Amino acid sequence: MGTSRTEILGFLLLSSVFLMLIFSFLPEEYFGKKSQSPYLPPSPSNPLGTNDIGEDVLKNLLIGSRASLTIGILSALVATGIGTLIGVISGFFGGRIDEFCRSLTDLFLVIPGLPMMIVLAAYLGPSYFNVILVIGLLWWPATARIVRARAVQIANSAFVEGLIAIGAGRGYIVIKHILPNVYGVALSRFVLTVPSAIILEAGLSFIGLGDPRNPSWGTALHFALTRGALLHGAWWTFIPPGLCIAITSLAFLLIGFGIEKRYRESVKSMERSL
Amino acid sequence: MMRLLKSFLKYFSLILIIVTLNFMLPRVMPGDPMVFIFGEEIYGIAVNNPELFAQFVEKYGLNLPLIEQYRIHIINFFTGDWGYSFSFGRPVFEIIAERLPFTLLLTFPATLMSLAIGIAIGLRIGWRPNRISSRITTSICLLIHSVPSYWLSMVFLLVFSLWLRFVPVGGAPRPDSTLIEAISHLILPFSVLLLFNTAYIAMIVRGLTVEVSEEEFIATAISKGLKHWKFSIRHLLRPSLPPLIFLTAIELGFTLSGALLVEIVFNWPGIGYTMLQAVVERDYPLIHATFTIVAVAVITANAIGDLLTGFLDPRVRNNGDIEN
Repeated sequence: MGTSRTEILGFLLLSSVFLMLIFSFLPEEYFGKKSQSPYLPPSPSNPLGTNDIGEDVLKNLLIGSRASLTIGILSALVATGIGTLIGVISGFFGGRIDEFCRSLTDLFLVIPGLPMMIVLAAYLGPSYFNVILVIGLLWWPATARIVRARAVQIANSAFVEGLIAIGAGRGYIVIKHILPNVYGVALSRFVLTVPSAIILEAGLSFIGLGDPRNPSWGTALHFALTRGALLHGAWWTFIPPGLCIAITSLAFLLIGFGIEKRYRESVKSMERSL
Repeated sequence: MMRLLKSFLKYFSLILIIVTLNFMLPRVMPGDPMVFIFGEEIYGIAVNNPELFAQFVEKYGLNLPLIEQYRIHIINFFTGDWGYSFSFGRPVFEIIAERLPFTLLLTFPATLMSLAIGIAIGLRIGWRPNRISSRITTSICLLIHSVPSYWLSMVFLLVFSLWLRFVPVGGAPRPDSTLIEAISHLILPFSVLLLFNTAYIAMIVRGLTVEVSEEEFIATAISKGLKHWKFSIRHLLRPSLPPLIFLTAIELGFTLSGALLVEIVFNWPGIGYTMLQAVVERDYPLIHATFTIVAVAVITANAIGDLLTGFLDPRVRNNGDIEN
Protein backbone atom coordinates (compact mmCIF):
# COMPACT_ATOMS: atom_id res chain seq x y z
CA MET A 1 0.00 0.00 0.00
CA GLY A 2 2.51 2.59 -1.10
CA THR A 3 1.84 6.13 -2.11
CA SER A 4 -0.06 6.10 -5.37
CA ARG A 5 0.93 8.07 -8.44
CA THR A 6 -2.03 10.41 -8.07
CA GLU A 7 -0.97 11.21 -4.53
CA ILE A 8 2.56 12.01 -5.69
CA LEU A 9 1.08 14.33 -8.30
CA GLY A 10 -1.00 15.91 -5.54
CA PHE A 11 2.05 16.50 -3.38
CA LEU A 12 3.98 17.97 -6.32
CA LEU A 13 1.17 20.39 -7.08
CA LEU A 14 0.83 21.30 -3.43
CA SER A 15 4.54 21.97 -3.02
CA SER A 16 4.46 24.28 -6.03
CA VAL A 17 1.66 26.22 -4.34
CA PHE A 18 3.62 26.44 -1.10
CA LEU A 19 6.62 27.63 -3.09
CA MET A 20 4.41 30.50 -4.25
CA LEU A 21 3.59 31.23 -0.65
CA ILE A 22 7.29 31.40 0.23
CA PHE A 23 8.10 33.59 -2.79
CA SER A 24 5.38 36.03 -1.74
CA PHE A 25 7.65 37.10 1.14
CA LEU A 26 10.48 38.16 -1.19
CA PRO A 27 11.45 41.81 -0.82
CA GLU A 28 9.80 44.38 -3.06
CA GLU A 29 12.66 44.83 -5.56
CA TYR A 30 12.38 41.26 -6.86
CA PHE A 31 8.98 41.95 -8.35
CA GLY A 32 8.04 43.81 -11.51
CA LYS A 33 7.62 47.53 -10.96
CA LYS A 34 4.30 49.28 -10.77
CA SER A 35 3.86 50.78 -14.20
CA GLN A 36 2.09 53.94 -15.28
CA SER A 37 -0.02 52.30 -17.96
CA PRO A 38 -2.71 49.74 -17.20
CA TYR A 39 -3.18 46.35 -18.89
CA LEU A 40 0.39 45.87 -20.09
CA PRO A 41 0.60 42.40 -21.62
CA PRO A 42 3.21 39.96 -20.25
CA SER A 43 6.76 41.17 -20.86
CA PRO A 44 10.22 40.54 -19.35
CA SER A 45 9.76 43.35 -16.81
CA ASN A 46 6.25 42.19 -15.80
CA PRO A 47 6.19 38.42 -16.47
CA LEU A 48 2.39 38.26 -16.16
CA GLY A 49 1.62 41.79 -17.28
CA THR A 50 -0.09 44.48 -15.26
CA ASN A 51 -3.67 44.98 -14.13
CA ASP A 52 -6.09 47.89 -14.39
CA ILE A 53 -4.09 50.12 -12.04
CA GLY A 54 -0.69 49.08 -13.38
CA GLU A 55 0.16 46.64 -10.59
CA ASP A 56 2.33 43.64 -11.37
CA VAL A 57 0.00 40.65 -11.76
CA LEU A 58 2.62 38.12 -10.69
CA LYS A 59 3.20 39.94 -7.44
CA ASN A 60 -0.54 40.05 -6.67
CA LEU A 61 -0.77 36.40 -7.58
CA LEU A 62 1.97 35.42 -5.11
CA ILE A 63 0.50 37.58 -2.36
CA GLY A 64 -2.96 36.17 -3.09
CA SER A 65 -1.72 32.70 -2.15
CA ARG A 66 -1.44 33.85 1.47
CA ALA A 67 -5.10 34.68 1.99
CA SER A 68 -6.41 31.83 -0.17
CA LEU A 69 -4.32 29.17 1.57
CA THR A 70 -4.68 30.37 5.15
CA ILE A 71 -8.42 31.00 4.89
CA GLY A 72 -8.89 27.69 3.07
CA ILE A 73 -6.92 25.68 5.62
CA LEU A 74 -8.18 27.45 8.75
CA SER A 75 -11.84 27.33 7.80
CA ALA A 76 -11.51 23.67 6.79
CA LEU A 77 -9.97 23.09 10.22
CA VAL A 78 -12.91 24.77 11.96
CA ALA A 79 -15.43 22.92 9.79
CA THR A 80 -13.79 19.52 10.30
CA GLY A 81 -13.49 20.17 14.03
CA ILE A 82 -17.18 20.93 14.40
CA GLY A 83 -18.15 18.04 12.12
CA THR A 84 -15.99 15.53 13.98
CA LEU A 85 -17.23 16.69 17.37
CA ILE A 86 -20.89 16.45 16.36
CA GLY A 87 -20.32 13.15 14.54
CA VAL A 88 -18.59 11.51 17.51
CA ILE A 89 -21.13 12.76 20.06
CA SER A 90 -23.98 11.70 17.81
CA GLY A 91 -22.55 8.28 17.00
CA PHE A 92 -21.30 7.35 20.43
CA PHE A 93 -24.06 8.55 22.69
CA GLY A 94 -26.98 7.54 20.47
CA GLY A 95 -30.61 7.96 21.54
CA ARG A 96 -32.04 11.45 21.87
CA ILE A 97 -28.67 13.14 21.46
CA ASP A 98 -28.10 11.26 18.22
CA GLU A 99 -31.53 12.20 16.96
CA PHE A 100 -30.96 15.86 17.76
CA CYS A 101 -27.51 15.93 16.13
CA ARG A 102 -28.81 14.18 13.04
CA SER A 103 -31.68 16.61 12.59
CA LEU A 104 -29.23 19.48 13.02
CA THR A 105 -26.92 17.97 10.41
CA ASP A 106 -29.77 17.36 7.96
CA LEU A 107 -30.88 20.92 8.45
CA PHE A 108 -27.50 22.42 7.66
CA LEU A 109 -27.12 20.03 4.75
CA VAL A 110 -30.26 21.36 3.09
CA ILE A 111 -29.73 25.09 3.61
CA PRO A 112 -27.82 26.33 0.55
CA GLY A 113 -24.33 27.18 1.78
CA LEU A 114 -23.08 29.97 -0.43
CA PRO A 115 -26.19 32.22 -0.31
CA MET A 116 -26.30 31.75 3.47
CA MET A 117 -22.64 32.72 3.70
CA ILE A 118 -23.29 35.77 1.57
CA VAL A 119 -26.06 36.93 3.92
CA LEU A 120 -23.90 36.40 7.01
CA ALA A 121 -20.83 37.98 5.45
CA ALA A 122 -22.89 40.99 4.34
CA TYR A 123 -23.88 41.58 7.97
CA LEU A 124 -20.58 40.76 9.62
CA GLY A 125 -18.56 42.84 7.20
CA PRO A 126 -15.56 41.79 5.17
CA SER A 127 -12.71 40.58 7.34
CA TYR A 128 -10.32 37.67 7.43
CA PHE A 129 -11.73 36.31 10.64
CA ASN A 130 -15.36 36.60 9.56
CA VAL A 131 -14.78 34.72 6.32
CA ILE A 132 -13.15 31.84 8.22
CA LEU A 133 -15.96 31.86 10.76
CA VAL A 134 -18.71 31.89 8.15
CA ILE A 135 -17.23 29.04 6.09
CA GLY A 136 -16.29 27.01 9.17
CA LEU A 137 -19.71 27.30 10.76
CA LEU A 138 -21.56 26.22 7.65
CA TRP A 139 -19.43 23.57 5.96
CA TRP A 140 -19.36 20.76 8.53
CA PRO A 141 -22.49 18.59 7.89
CA ALA A 142 -20.92 16.17 5.40
CA THR A 143 -18.07 15.50 7.83
CA ALA A 144 -20.49 15.00 10.71
CA ARG A 145 -22.42 12.37 8.74
CA ILE A 146 -19.36 10.40 7.75
CA VAL A 147 -17.71 10.58 11.18
CA ARG A 148 -20.98 9.56 12.81
CA ALA A 149 -21.25 6.43 10.65
CA ARG A 150 -17.74 5.40 11.71
CA ALA A 151 -18.34 6.27 15.38
CA VAL A 152 -21.49 4.13 15.44
CA GLN A 153 -19.50 1.23 14.01
CA ILE A 154 -16.85 1.53 16.72
CA ALA A 155 -19.32 2.16 19.52
CA ASN A 156 -21.06 -1.10 18.64
CA SER A 157 -17.88 -3.13 18.28
CA ALA A 158 -16.91 -5.91 20.66
CA PHE A 159 -13.91 -4.13 22.12
CA VAL A 160 -15.95 -1.11 23.22
CA GLU A 161 -18.47 -3.46 24.76
CA GLY A 162 -15.56 -5.07 26.58
CA LEU A 163 -14.34 -1.69 27.76
CA ILE A 164 -17.76 -0.83 29.12
CA ALA A 165 -17.87 -4.24 30.82
CA ILE A 166 -14.61 -3.63 32.66
CA GLY A 167 -16.01 -0.27 33.79
CA ALA A 168 -14.31 2.27 31.54
CA GLY A 169 -15.87 5.74 31.67
CA ARG A 170 -17.54 7.27 28.64
CA GLY A 171 -15.12 10.18 28.39
CA TYR A 172 -12.21 7.76 28.56
CA ILE A 173 -13.62 5.60 25.77
CA VAL A 174 -14.31 8.61 23.56
CA ILE A 175 -10.86 10.13 23.99
CA LYS A 176 -8.77 6.96 24.05
CA HIS A 177 -10.65 4.76 21.61
CA ILE A 178 -13.26 6.53 19.51
CA LEU A 179 -11.26 9.60 18.53
CA PRO A 180 -8.14 7.67 17.42
CA ASN A 181 -10.40 5.45 15.34
CA VAL A 182 -12.20 8.27 13.57
CA TYR A 183 -8.94 10.15 13.05
CA GLY A 184 -8.48 8.66 9.56
CA VAL A 185 -11.92 9.74 8.35
CA ALA A 186 -11.56 13.14 9.95
CA LEU A 187 -8.17 13.67 8.32
CA SER A 188 -9.42 12.72 4.86
CA ARG A 189 -12.45 14.95 5.39
CA PHE A 190 -10.19 17.83 6.40
CA VAL A 191 -8.03 17.48 3.30
CA LEU A 192 -11.14 17.24 1.12
CA THR A 193 -12.77 20.26 2.78
CA VAL A 194 -9.81 22.55 2.04
CA PRO A 195 -10.55 22.78 -1.71
CA SER A 196 -14.24 23.54 -1.03
CA ALA A 197 -13.20 26.21 1.45
CA ILE A 198 -10.74 27.76 -1.00
CA ILE A 199 -13.37 27.84 -3.75
CA LEU A 200 -15.98 29.22 -1.32
CA GLU A 201 -13.62 31.95 -0.14
CA ALA A 202 -12.89 32.81 -3.75
CA GLY A 203 -16.65 32.95 -4.39
CA LEU A 204 -17.22 35.33 -1.47
CA SER A 205 -14.34 37.54 -2.59
CA PHE A 206 -15.60 37.34 -6.16
CA ILE A 207 -18.92 38.84 -5.05
CA GLY A 208 -16.98 41.51 -3.19
CA LEU A 209 -17.31 40.22 0.37
CA GLY A 210 -13.66 39.30 0.88
CA ASP A 211 -11.22 41.13 3.12
CA PRO A 212 -9.90 44.02 1.01
CA ARG A 213 -6.74 44.31 3.11
CA ASN A 214 -5.83 40.67 2.47
CA PRO A 215 -6.54 40.15 -1.23
CA SER A 216 -6.91 36.54 -2.33
CA TRP A 217 -7.11 34.95 -5.76
CA GLY A 218 -10.87 35.48 -5.63
CA THR A 219 -10.29 39.21 -5.11
CA ALA A 220 -8.23 39.32 -8.31
CA LEU A 221 -11.12 37.70 -10.19
CA HIS A 222 -13.54 40.20 -8.62
CA PHE A 223 -11.52 43.16 -9.87
CA ALA A 224 -10.99 41.58 -13.27
CA LEU A 225 -14.75 41.38 -13.69
CA THR A 226 -15.91 44.60 -12.06
CA ARG A 227 -13.15 46.86 -13.37
CA GLY A 228 -13.45 45.60 -16.92
CA ALA A 229 -10.25 43.59 -17.43
CA LEU A 230 -12.40 40.81 -18.84
CA LEU A 231 -14.08 42.98 -21.45
CA HIS A 232 -10.73 44.58 -22.19
CA GLY A 233 -9.48 41.10 -23.12
CA ALA A 234 -6.68 41.32 -20.53
CA TRP A 235 -6.60 37.56 -20.00
CA TRP A 236 -3.35 37.70 -18.01
CA THR A 237 -5.17 39.35 -15.11
CA PHE A 238 -7.69 36.58 -14.52
CA ILE A 239 -6.42 33.34 -16.09
CA PRO A 240 -3.52 32.90 -13.58
CA PRO A 241 -5.54 33.36 -10.35
CA GLY A 242 -8.16 30.86 -11.57
CA LEU A 243 -5.46 28.38 -12.51
CA CYS A 244 -3.91 28.78 -9.05
CA ILE A 245 -7.27 28.03 -7.40
CA ALA A 246 -7.68 24.99 -9.66
CA ILE A 247 -4.16 23.68 -8.99
CA THR A 248 -4.50 24.11 -5.24
CA SER A 249 -7.87 22.44 -4.98
CA LEU A 250 -6.81 19.64 -7.32
CA ALA A 251 -3.75 19.03 -5.14
CA PHE A 252 -5.84 18.72 -2.00
CA LEU A 253 -8.45 16.56 -3.77
CA LEU A 254 -5.83 14.10 -5.05
CA ILE A 255 -4.17 13.80 -1.64
CA GLY A 256 -7.52 13.57 0.11
CA PHE A 257 -8.80 10.78 -2.15
CA GLY A 258 -5.54 8.91 -1.55
CA ILE A 259 -5.92 9.14 2.22
CA GLU A 260 -9.56 8.15 2.00
CA LYS A 261 -8.80 5.10 -0.13
CA ARG A 262 -5.97 3.90 2.07
CA TYR A 263 -8.10 4.38 5.15
CA ARG A 264 -10.98 2.41 3.64
CA GLU A 265 -8.63 -0.44 2.75
CA SER A 266 -7.18 -0.53 6.25
CA VAL A 267 -10.65 -0.62 7.79
CA LYS A 268 -11.58 -3.45 5.44
CA SER A 269 -8.51 -5.52 6.27
CA MET A 270 -9.10 -4.90 9.96
CA GLU A 271 -12.66 -6.16 9.63
CA ARG A 272 -11.45 -9.23 7.78
CA SER A 273 -8.92 -10.08 10.48
CA LEU A 274 -11.52 -9.83 13.23
CA MET B 1 -48.96 8.45 5.29
CA MET B 2 -47.15 9.08 8.56
CA ARG B 3 -43.93 9.39 6.62
CA LEU B 4 -45.39 11.98 4.29
CA LEU B 5 -46.65 14.03 7.19
CA LYS B 6 -43.30 13.77 8.94
CA SER B 7 -41.31 14.90 5.94
CA PHE B 8 -43.77 17.71 5.26
CA LEU B 9 -43.32 18.91 8.83
CA LYS B 10 -39.56 18.71 8.47
CA TYR B 11 -39.43 20.84 5.35
CA PHE B 12 -42.02 23.27 6.62
CA SER B 13 -40.02 23.86 9.78
CA LEU B 14 -36.93 24.37 7.63
CA ILE B 15 -38.68 27.20 5.81
CA LEU B 16 -39.75 28.63 9.16
CA ILE B 17 -36.13 28.53 10.32
CA ILE B 18 -35.04 30.50 7.25
CA VAL B 19 -37.79 33.06 7.84
CA THR B 20 -36.84 33.31 11.51
CA LEU B 21 -33.22 33.84 10.58
CA ASN B 22 -34.25 36.68 8.31
CA PHE B 23 -36.16 38.18 11.20
CA MET B 24 -33.36 37.81 13.72
CA LEU B 25 -30.30 38.92 11.78
CA PRO B 26 -31.06 42.66 11.53
CA ARG B 27 -32.21 42.68 15.14
CA VAL B 28 -29.26 40.90 16.78
CA MET B 29 -26.62 42.83 14.86
CA PRO B 30 -25.18 45.86 16.62
CA GLY B 31 -26.85 49.12 15.62
CA ASP B 32 -30.41 50.14 14.86
CA PRO B 33 -32.24 47.42 12.90
CA MET B 34 -33.78 50.21 10.85
CA VAL B 35 -30.43 50.81 9.16
CA PHE B 36 -30.69 47.33 7.70
CA ILE B 37 -34.29 47.81 6.67
CA PHE B 38 -34.02 51.23 4.98
CA GLY B 39 -30.35 51.49 4.11
CA GLU B 40 -27.88 54.04 5.45
CA GLU B 41 -29.02 56.86 3.21
CA ILE B 42 -32.71 56.86 3.98
CA TYR B 43 -31.98 56.12 7.62
CA GLY B 44 -29.72 59.16 7.73
CA ILE B 45 -32.48 61.38 6.39
CA ALA B 46 -35.08 59.87 8.69
CA VAL B 47 -32.98 60.31 11.83
CA ASN B 48 -32.88 64.08 11.31
CA ASN B 49 -36.60 64.23 10.76
CA PRO B 50 -38.40 62.93 13.88
CA GLU B 51 -41.81 63.02 12.25
CA LEU B 52 -40.73 60.88 9.32
CA PHE B 53 -38.86 58.59 11.68
CA ALA B 54 -41.95 58.02 13.80
CA GLN B 55 -43.90 57.33 10.63
CA PHE B 56 -41.39 54.66 9.57
CA VAL B 57 -41.37 53.08 13.00
CA GLU B 58 -45.15 52.99 12.94
CA LYS B 59 -45.37 51.58 9.41
CA TYR B 60 -42.88 48.76 10.01
CA GLY B 61 -44.24 48.00 13.46
CA LEU B 62 -40.83 48.46 15.06
CA ASN B 63 -42.40 49.90 18.21
CA LEU B 64 -44.40 46.73 18.84
CA PRO B 65 -43.19 43.98 21.19
CA LEU B 66 -40.78 41.55 19.49
CA ILE B 67 -43.18 38.63 19.51
CA GLU B 68 -45.79 40.73 17.74
CA GLN B 69 -43.17 41.86 15.19
CA TYR B 70 -42.30 38.22 14.62
CA ARG B 71 -45.93 37.31 14.00
CA ILE B 72 -46.26 40.11 11.46
CA HIS B 73 -42.99 39.07 9.83
CA ILE B 74 -44.20 35.51 9.30
CA ILE B 75 -47.60 36.58 8.00
CA ASN B 76 -45.86 39.00 5.62
CA PHE B 77 -43.59 36.25 4.34
CA PHE B 78 -46.45 33.96 3.41
CA THR B 79 -48.50 36.76 1.86
CA GLY B 80 -45.64 37.83 -0.38
CA ASP B 81 -44.72 41.04 1.46
CA TRP B 82 -40.94 40.59 1.65
CA GLY B 83 -40.04 44.19 2.33
CA TYR B 84 -38.96 47.12 0.20
CA SER B 85 -35.73 47.34 -1.74
CA PHE B 86 -34.34 50.82 -1.28
CA SER B 87 -31.77 50.48 -4.07
CA PHE B 88 -34.40 49.49 -6.63
CA GLY B 89 -37.16 51.57 -5.08
CA ARG B 90 -39.57 48.69 -5.52
CA PRO B 91 -41.07 45.90 -3.40
CA VAL B 92 -38.56 43.05 -3.08
CA PHE B 93 -41.06 40.38 -4.02
CA GLU B 94 -41.71 42.05 -7.38
CA ILE B 95 -38.01 42.04 -8.24
CA ILE B 96 -37.64 38.39 -7.29
CA ALA B 97 -40.73 37.36 -9.23
CA GLU B 98 -39.38 39.17 -12.27
CA ARG B 99 -35.92 37.59 -12.13
CA LEU B 100 -36.56 34.08 -10.88
CA PRO B 101 -37.74 32.86 -14.32
CA PHE B 102 -34.33 33.77 -15.78
CA THR B 103 -32.53 31.64 -13.22
CA LEU B 104 -34.93 28.75 -13.72
CA LEU B 105 -34.59 29.01 -17.50
CA LEU B 106 -30.87 28.52 -17.04
CA THR B 107 -30.69 25.91 -14.28
CA PHE B 108 -33.67 23.68 -14.97
CA PRO B 109 -32.73 22.38 -18.44
CA ALA B 110 -29.06 22.23 -17.43
CA THR B 111 -29.87 20.12 -14.38
CA LEU B 112 -32.12 17.69 -16.27
CA MET B 113 -29.69 17.23 -19.11
CA SER B 114 -26.71 16.80 -16.85
CA LEU B 115 -28.61 14.17 -14.86
CA ALA B 116 -29.12 12.09 -18.00
CA ILE B 117 -25.58 12.49 -19.31
CA GLY B 118 -23.99 12.25 -15.86
CA ILE B 119 -25.75 8.97 -15.03
CA ALA B 120 -24.76 7.44 -18.38
CA ILE B 121 -21.11 8.45 -17.96
CA GLY B 122 -21.06 7.47 -14.30
CA LEU B 123 -22.39 3.98 -15.00
CA ARG B 124 -19.80 3.46 -17.71
CA ILE B 125 -16.77 4.58 -15.77
CA GLY B 126 -17.98 3.04 -12.52
CA TRP B 127 -18.50 -0.40 -14.03
CA ARG B 128 -14.92 -0.62 -15.33
CA PRO B 129 -13.07 1.97 -13.25
CA ASN B 130 -9.61 0.78 -14.22
CA ARG B 131 -9.95 1.11 -17.97
CA ILE B 132 -7.85 3.82 -19.55
CA SER B 133 -10.93 5.60 -20.92
CA SER B 134 -12.60 5.51 -17.50
CA ARG B 135 -9.51 6.90 -15.85
CA ILE B 136 -9.27 9.75 -18.32
CA THR B 137 -12.95 10.60 -17.87
CA THR B 138 -12.56 10.50 -14.10
CA SER B 139 -9.59 12.86 -14.27
CA ILE B 140 -11.52 15.28 -16.44
CA CYS B 141 -14.40 15.26 -13.97
CA LEU B 142 -11.98 15.85 -11.12
CA LEU B 143 -10.38 18.71 -12.99
CA ILE B 144 -13.75 20.37 -13.61
CA HIS B 145 -14.54 19.89 -9.95
CA SER B 146 -11.50 21.86 -8.83
CA VAL B 147 -12.10 24.88 -11.09
CA PRO B 148 -14.41 27.69 -9.93
CA SER B 149 -17.42 27.78 -12.24
CA TYR B 150 -17.39 31.56 -12.60
CA TRP B 151 -13.74 31.50 -13.62
CA LEU B 152 -14.50 29.01 -16.39
CA SER B 153 -17.34 31.33 -17.39
CA MET B 154 -14.85 34.19 -17.71
CA VAL B 155 -12.59 32.01 -19.86
CA PHE B 156 -15.52 30.96 -22.06
CA LEU B 157 -16.57 34.57 -22.44
CA LEU B 158 -13.04 35.55 -23.42
CA VAL B 159 -12.64 32.78 -25.97
CA PHE B 160 -16.09 32.54 -27.54
CA SER B 161 -17.30 36.14 -27.30
CA LEU B 162 -14.22 38.32 -27.39
CA TRP B 163 -11.82 36.27 -29.50
CA LEU B 164 -14.00 34.14 -31.75
CA ARG B 165 -17.05 36.46 -31.66
CA PHE B 166 -19.47 33.54 -31.89
CA VAL B 167 -21.91 34.89 -29.31
CA PRO B 168 -22.74 38.25 -27.67
CA VAL B 169 -20.78 39.27 -24.59
CA GLY B 170 -23.61 38.75 -22.14
CA GLY B 171 -27.03 39.84 -21.05
CA ALA B 172 -30.35 38.16 -21.58
CA PRO B 173 -32.50 37.88 -24.68
CA ARG B 174 -35.18 40.57 -25.03
CA PRO B 175 -38.81 39.58 -25.51
CA ASP B 176 -38.60 40.53 -29.21
CA SER B 177 -35.39 38.66 -30.01
CA THR B 178 -35.46 35.65 -32.31
CA LEU B 179 -34.87 32.10 -31.17
CA ILE B 180 -31.33 32.11 -32.55
CA GLU B 181 -30.53 35.28 -30.65
CA ALA B 182 -32.01 33.86 -27.47
CA ILE B 183 -29.95 30.71 -27.83
CA SER B 184 -26.79 32.70 -28.50
CA HIS B 185 -27.28 34.47 -25.15
CA LEU B 186 -28.09 31.28 -23.33
CA ILE B 187 -25.53 28.89 -24.75
CA LEU B 188 -22.40 29.91 -22.80
CA PRO B 189 -23.82 30.01 -19.25
CA PHE B 190 -25.79 26.88 -20.08
CA SER B 191 -22.67 25.00 -21.20
CA VAL B 192 -20.76 25.98 -18.08
CA LEU B 193 -23.54 24.73 -15.82
CA LEU B 194 -24.00 21.58 -17.87
CA LEU B 195 -20.29 20.81 -17.66
CA PHE B 196 -20.14 21.29 -13.89
CA ASN B 197 -23.31 19.40 -13.03
CA THR B 198 -22.50 16.54 -15.36
CA ALA B 199 -19.05 16.14 -13.84
CA TYR B 200 -20.50 16.15 -10.36
CA ILE B 201 -23.28 13.64 -11.07
CA ALA B 202 -20.93 11.37 -13.02
CA MET B 203 -18.61 11.26 -9.99
CA ILE B 204 -21.48 10.37 -7.62
CA VAL B 205 -22.83 7.66 -9.92
CA ARG B 206 -19.31 6.31 -10.43
CA GLY B 207 -18.80 5.95 -6.68
CA LEU B 208 -22.18 4.29 -6.16
CA THR B 209 -21.66 1.95 -9.11
CA VAL B 210 -18.22 0.85 -7.92
CA GLU B 211 -19.80 -0.02 -4.58
CA VAL B 212 -22.77 -1.86 -6.07
CA SER B 213 -20.66 -3.84 -8.55
CA GLU B 214 -18.97 -5.63 -5.65
CA GLU B 215 -22.31 -7.09 -4.56
CA GLU B 216 -23.11 -10.73 -5.19
CA PHE B 217 -26.30 -10.19 -7.16
CA ILE B 218 -24.19 -8.53 -9.82
CA ALA B 219 -22.19 -11.73 -10.30
CA THR B 220 -25.48 -13.61 -10.54
CA ALA B 221 -26.80 -11.22 -13.15
CA ILE B 222 -23.64 -11.58 -15.22
CA SER B 223 -23.75 -15.35 -15.05
CA LYS B 224 -27.36 -15.22 -16.20
CA GLY B 225 -26.04 -13.50 -19.31
CA LEU B 226 -28.01 -10.26 -19.16
CA LYS B 227 -27.56 -7.75 -21.95
CA HIS B 228 -25.37 -4.83 -21.06
CA TRP B 229 -27.86 -1.94 -21.08
CA LYS B 230 -30.55 -3.96 -19.35
CA PHE B 231 -28.06 -4.99 -16.76
CA SER B 232 -26.83 -1.44 -16.21
CA ILE B 233 -30.23 -0.02 -15.57
CA ARG B 234 -31.74 -2.82 -13.57
CA HIS B 235 -28.83 -3.96 -11.49
CA LEU B 236 -26.36 -1.13 -11.37
CA LEU B 237 -28.56 1.95 -11.38
CA ARG B 238 -31.62 0.83 -9.48
CA PRO B 239 -29.94 0.05 -6.14
CA SER B 240 -28.05 3.34 -6.36
CA LEU B 241 -31.12 5.44 -7.05
CA PRO B 242 -32.16 6.39 -3.48
CA PRO B 243 -28.73 7.73 -2.48
CA LEU B 244 -28.40 9.31 -5.92
CA ILE B 245 -31.66 11.20 -5.52
CA PHE B 246 -30.66 12.25 -2.02
CA LEU B 247 -27.25 13.50 -3.16
CA THR B 248 -28.68 15.21 -6.24
CA ALA B 249 -31.26 17.08 -4.19
CA ILE B 250 -28.58 18.25 -1.78
CA GLU B 251 -26.35 19.12 -4.66
CA LEU B 252 -29.01 21.28 -6.18
CA GLY B 253 -28.16 23.84 -3.55
CA PHE B 254 -24.61 23.77 -4.75
CA THR B 255 -25.70 23.92 -8.38
CA LEU B 256 -27.90 26.92 -7.76
CA SER B 257 -25.12 28.66 -5.86
CA GLY B 258 -22.80 27.98 -8.78
CA ALA B 259 -25.42 29.31 -11.19
CA LEU B 260 -25.65 32.50 -9.14
CA LEU B 261 -21.98 33.24 -9.71
CA VAL B 262 -22.09 32.21 -13.38
CA GLU B 263 -25.00 34.62 -13.93
CA ILE B 264 -22.86 37.46 -12.64
CA VAL B 265 -20.16 36.87 -15.26
CA PHE B 266 -22.66 36.76 -18.12
CA ASN B 267 -24.82 39.65 -16.86
CA TRP B 268 -27.71 37.21 -16.88
CA PRO B 269 -30.49 39.05 -15.03
CA GLY B 270 -31.44 36.22 -12.67
CA ILE B 271 -31.29 35.79 -8.92
CA GLY B 272 -27.49 35.65 -8.79
CA TYR B 273 -27.03 38.92 -10.60
CA THR B 274 -29.65 40.46 -8.31
CA MET B 275 -27.72 39.14 -5.33
CA LEU B 276 -24.57 40.89 -6.54
CA GLN B 277 -26.46 44.17 -7.02
CA ALA B 278 -27.94 43.79 -3.54
CA VAL B 279 -24.53 43.09 -1.97
CA VAL B 280 -22.91 46.04 -3.73
CA GLU B 281 -25.67 48.38 -2.48
CA ARG B 282 -25.83 46.63 0.90
CA ASP B 283 -29.57 46.35 0.23
CA TYR B 284 -30.34 43.97 3.08
CA PRO B 285 -34.02 43.26 2.34
CA LEU B 286 -33.01 42.21 -1.17
CA ILE B 287 -30.04 40.13 0.09
CA HIS B 288 -32.43 38.30 2.40
CA ALA B 289 -34.91 37.75 -0.40
CA THR B 290 -32.36 36.25 -2.80
CA PHE B 291 -31.17 33.91 -0.06
CA THR B 292 -34.73 32.99 0.87
CA ILE B 293 -35.82 32.19 -2.66
CA VAL B 294 -32.78 29.96 -3.26
CA ALA B 295 -33.36 28.24 0.08
CA VAL B 296 -37.04 27.68 -0.69
CA ALA B 297 -36.10 26.22 -4.10
CA VAL B 298 -33.57 23.85 -2.55
CA ILE B 299 -35.93 22.81 0.24
CA THR B 300 -38.64 22.08 -2.31
CA ALA B 301 -36.21 19.99 -4.35
CA ASN B 302 -35.30 18.04 -1.25
CA ALA B 303 -38.93 17.44 -0.42
CA ILE B 304 -39.56 16.13 -3.94
CA GLY B 305 -36.45 13.96 -3.65
CA ASP B 306 -37.78 12.56 -0.38
CA LEU B 307 -41.10 11.73 -2.01
CA LEU B 308 -39.37 10.02 -4.95
CA THR B 309 -37.16 7.97 -2.65
CA GLY B 310 -40.21 6.78 -0.79
CA PHE B 311 -41.80 5.83 -4.08
CA LEU B 312 -38.75 3.98 -5.40
CA ASP B 313 -37.41 2.21 -2.33
CA PRO B 314 -39.71 -0.58 -1.13
CA ARG B 315 -38.02 -0.58 2.27
CA VAL B 316 -39.02 3.03 2.84
CA ARG B 317 -42.45 2.51 1.28
CA ASN B 318 -43.31 -0.20 3.77
CA ASN B 319 -41.48 0.55 6.99
CA GLY B 320 -41.37 4.29 7.12
CA ASP B 321 -37.65 4.97 7.35
CA ILE B 322 -34.34 3.48 6.27
CA GLU B 323 -32.20 2.62 9.24
CA ASN B 324 -28.62 3.46 8.46
